[in-house]
Amino acid sequence: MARKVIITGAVTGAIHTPSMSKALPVTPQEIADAAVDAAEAGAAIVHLHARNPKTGQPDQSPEAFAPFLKIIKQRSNCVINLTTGGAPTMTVDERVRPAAVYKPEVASLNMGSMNFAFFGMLNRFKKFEHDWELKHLQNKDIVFRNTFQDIEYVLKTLSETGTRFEFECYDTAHLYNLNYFLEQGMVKPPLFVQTVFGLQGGTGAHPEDVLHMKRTADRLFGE
Amino acid sequence: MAASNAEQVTLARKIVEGLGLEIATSDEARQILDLKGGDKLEV
Repeated sequence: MARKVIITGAVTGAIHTPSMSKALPVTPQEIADAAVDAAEAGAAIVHLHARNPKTGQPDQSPEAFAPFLKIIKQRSNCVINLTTGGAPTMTVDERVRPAAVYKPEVASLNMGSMNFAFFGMLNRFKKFEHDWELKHLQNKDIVFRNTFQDIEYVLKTLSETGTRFEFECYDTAHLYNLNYFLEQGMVKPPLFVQTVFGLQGGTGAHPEDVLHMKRTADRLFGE
Repeated sequence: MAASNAEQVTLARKIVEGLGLEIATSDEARQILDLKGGDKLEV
């Protein structure tokens, strides 16, 4: 029997900024509407980040999530997946709080430290409405920290909530890191592995990069 | 280029179905990924 394909709608994230597109949801109502519409279009899961409704800046406070979570839960049967990545400049304590408070079915979990950069986008976008946007985009000094200790901290903090994870892997080392936690019994199958391509600091978006991540994941975790 | 998130999902869905595969519903995703159920989100 053919497997079914799960589509996740990640409706706003923390990378793009409002001046880049009117289609980027910023207010709780926009985020909720985008998530519900994505679910109706066929997304089984929605992946959610929060933003300051006035400026669009990423906001990882639990209070910023509540308004749209209420709406989405009411209007849709979709699986809600909350970020523990937040923005790469936040501490792991800040990043884990929304999932710890709301105990979602799924939370993302970044599986390794890495450089993180958006400055390439400045080639395409030049005018910004808010001061924070240019600062955010031009930063060449971002380390997205996800040490073994940090990952253990997220796993332990969320262990009582029944939340399962979408393991975000930006390179093959992150797959090996996931394998370590699997062998330790700290994560349990079925593993929901997300591979990310084309972010500056992670692996590329060439078909061979995609193939290599898939075959490494298949080799480590079986089919 | 897609003008909204829903449009992007529709495009992804067309590609998946065009390949002869089926998309999963949320409840099917819950089974596949062993999730606890949407009522358990505390908000």
